[in-house]
Amino acid sequence: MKATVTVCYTGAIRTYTGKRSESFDLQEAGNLRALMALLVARYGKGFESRVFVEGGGLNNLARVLVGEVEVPELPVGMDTALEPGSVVTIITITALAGGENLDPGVHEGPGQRHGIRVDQS
Amino acid sequence: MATPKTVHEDVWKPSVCYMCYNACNILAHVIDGVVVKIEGNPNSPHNGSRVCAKGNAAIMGLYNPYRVTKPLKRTNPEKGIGVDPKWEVISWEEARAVVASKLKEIRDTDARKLYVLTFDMQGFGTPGNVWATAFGTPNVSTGPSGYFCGNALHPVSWSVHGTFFQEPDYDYTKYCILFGSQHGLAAFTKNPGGLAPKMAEARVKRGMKLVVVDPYCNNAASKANEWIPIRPGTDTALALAMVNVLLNEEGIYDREFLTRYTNGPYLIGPDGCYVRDAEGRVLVWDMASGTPRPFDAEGVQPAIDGTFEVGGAEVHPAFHLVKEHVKKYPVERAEEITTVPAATIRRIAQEFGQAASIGSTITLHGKVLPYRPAVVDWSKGAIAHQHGMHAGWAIQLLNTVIGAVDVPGGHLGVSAKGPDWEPTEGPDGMLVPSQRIAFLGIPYPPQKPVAPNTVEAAELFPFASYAMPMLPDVLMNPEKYGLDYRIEMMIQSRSNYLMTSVDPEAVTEAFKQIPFIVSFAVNIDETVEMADIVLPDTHVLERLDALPNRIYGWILPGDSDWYWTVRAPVVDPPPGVRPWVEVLYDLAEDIGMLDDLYSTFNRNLKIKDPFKLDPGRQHSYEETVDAYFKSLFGAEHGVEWFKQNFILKTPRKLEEAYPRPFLKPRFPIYLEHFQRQGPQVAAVTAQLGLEDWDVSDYQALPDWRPCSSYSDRGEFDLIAINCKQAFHSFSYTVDAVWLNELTDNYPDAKAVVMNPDTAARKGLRQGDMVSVRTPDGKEVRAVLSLFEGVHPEVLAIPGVHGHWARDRKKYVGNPGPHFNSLLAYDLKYIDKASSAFDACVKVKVARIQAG
Repeated sequence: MKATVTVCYTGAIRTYTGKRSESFDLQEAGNLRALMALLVARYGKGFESRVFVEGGGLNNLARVLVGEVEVPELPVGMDTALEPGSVVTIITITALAGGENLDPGVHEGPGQRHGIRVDQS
Repeated sequence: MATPKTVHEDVWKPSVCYMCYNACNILAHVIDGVVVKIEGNPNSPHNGSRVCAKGNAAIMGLYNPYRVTKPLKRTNPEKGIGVDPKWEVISWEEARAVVASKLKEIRDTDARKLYVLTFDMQGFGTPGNVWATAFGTPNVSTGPSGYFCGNALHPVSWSVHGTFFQEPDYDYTKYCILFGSQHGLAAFTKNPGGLAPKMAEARVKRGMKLVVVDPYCNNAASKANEWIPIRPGTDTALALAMVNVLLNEEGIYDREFLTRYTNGPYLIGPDGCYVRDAEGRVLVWDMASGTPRPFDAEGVQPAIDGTFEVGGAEVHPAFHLVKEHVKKYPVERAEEITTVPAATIRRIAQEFGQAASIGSTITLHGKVLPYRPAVVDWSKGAIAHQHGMHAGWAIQLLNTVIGAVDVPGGHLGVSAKGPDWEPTEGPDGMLVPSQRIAFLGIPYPPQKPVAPNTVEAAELFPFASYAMPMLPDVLMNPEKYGLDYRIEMMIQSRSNYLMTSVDPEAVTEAFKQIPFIVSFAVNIDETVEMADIVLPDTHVLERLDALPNRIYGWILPGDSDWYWTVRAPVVDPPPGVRPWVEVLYDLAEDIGMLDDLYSTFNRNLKIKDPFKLDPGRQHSYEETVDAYFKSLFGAEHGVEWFKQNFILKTPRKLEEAYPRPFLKPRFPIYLEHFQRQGPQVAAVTAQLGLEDWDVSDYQALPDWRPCSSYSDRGEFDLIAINCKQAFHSFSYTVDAVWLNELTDNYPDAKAVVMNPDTAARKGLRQGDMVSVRTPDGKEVRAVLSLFEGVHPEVLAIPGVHGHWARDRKKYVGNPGPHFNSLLAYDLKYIDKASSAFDACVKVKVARIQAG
């Protein structure tokens, strides 16, 4: 039985892949960078432009996760080795003025980074 | 003697206004479940106890007797302006089944065929982003104002500050110039409640001078020290002439700032591109060694002007090219273009440069910072033009050359750097906005233009944040843009596109291409009249919206706190009326999308354990908001906490308020990457057969280019412009009848406004009924009003009036003229760099009937 990795697609990136997920032979996929190159070759410039910007960095509206860890938080980023059974998720976020708000760091309890003041209305 | 009614409830409830985009914090006085008064929230760091006429009048929208309270189905298949939809009341069950069935069919086949159109970014933004991503459609437009919005503002702000929005620092500035903007003094994002008092204090305490450049003496100009009337669409020439005065006449510029924080020292070769070494590193001319060295080499002392030789080619620092470039704009030439006297241009530039006090410092909170108390800001008036992107860059150059960027007294990005985010250094050392706030397309690192996949064809505008003006043409001709699908369903809410975009007739024809339109509506406006199904939506005083004071835009900049609020319902909605976002989340269950919705929610919003939504069960909408809050702010700060306490604040550190001295990444004064995108866009458009697609605006330095209204005017001798009214916002404020009464009592509010000298030349008089016609065959009719505060070549048309929706005609009264009906939809009027639509049009004015 071949060792495989699964790639899941969330968001409009599915309109390029035509599927919600697919599996790849681990030997074919190699590490994350090789997998992404394989996907770009398979799905073309539209796919590439939604995931990457000029210079090869990630598009700000794209997220790539190995398991539940995003690329910027992976110790070696795109050079992360893929294991048998690894699940790679590619999310292209619909561009609109929402998205996450920002973590103010007010929930860290004692020793929090910023003294929080609460106003009663 | 009547018995006094027993009062069971008499409370003031906190919430957030939504009569424009400022998100002012309010208190609603509720007696026995009825809102009787709205005031500003004195505890608010945003607007304090101040709330404007629109905010006060929100009550009238809440209790508008024409509100939609039941689902409606269209029975008349014909659609068009003035056509009666012949609504039939249907049950929620039937409506939900019909909508869910269509959604499921689309999602199972091609999710792109769903288009969501809304300007409800404060309500829909975060949950809607999640919903649309889970659904899989890339086709969401957040606003009809995408025609005349920040098209040429946001790309500049992202590039320079690393933020979506930018603001003058009224806490410390001494000289402020507004180009086509009523910053601090009008509606929408300009927060008069918070900023107008700061401006007043600046003038009293520091003698701040306010100069307003605008063809119309608007609300801001009427409060200014000096109003400079300008010919519409020529702000670029004025700004470049002022830069020329600073650089080449006065020698006023901040050399240290330009050297350290911009790409001013980067060497530019004969091809207009950066000069690089063998490893691809951008070179500067090192004055210490007299050799070219990488920009980030240890100990390098870059030159910012001069001519050098590298590899046998003549090269120049980028700033040198800027300095030479603006010599094309001597004040005398600018006078011809703008009609602003040369002496005035020179004087204003000199005053601005002197006020900047280059080299001065200020000590704040014990730290010494550069102090540049001079600033320019701009908005739609300057950039809603055929070459708007150049206007944005030219005006921003004024701030840049004096070093007034993200320092006290200068021009501030609202939220570039926060407690745990800041811009990063991208390719070539240039600024990349933090991923945490970059929620739209950002201009750097450069996006790759490709054949469109979206109904905005946004892929053809890689530098812009959105491309809404393309929508009608792509809806009509998707194959022209290489799309292999058509929109089959539109969900629309809080977006009266027919009135707030251009050319209602063209938009109507485009919307007729969409087989199924669902509108969530509080009232039946002009766009809702195109719907097949109408679902009743809540008024803003009945909604729960998470964090409407979004930190990337709708908060105060500079030396103030970070703060978060909630738009909490102050009264219950009428029976059967539900918030549209809640309904969308319910529909996710109907179409089998809950798993995707919750996993996308958890991932997109980075929900922490243990607050993640469980895909195994359905969560109420309030539970999802609660999870979001607790993940962001900690377990004790859920929805209930916000309902009780309302405002969450935390101090903003000095380096967050004024980040530039603390940041390493540089920002561009020479748009090398923008210039390179032009040929790339041209290659894609050529492949699509769009031979007329003009990419000549993709150049490294800004230039003034004329709008269509500028020349060959002939009998169309005036230029019509739109001007904002402080007591209206877009078209939806007309549903609050107090504002209509106010409008009807304001002399120019529903008139077309002309300079008396111009009128005299034409034999026209105050009160005449006139016809206003354009070369494209568009016409509006209105009463003429005369006002000295209008540029002699201009016809000013205020607000968004001229309502024709059947319900609105019952309470709006005199409809007044609809400016946007004068603008013919044609791609030639769209700026191919920013996607702005040209909002000035040449017209001829003739009397129909004497007043």
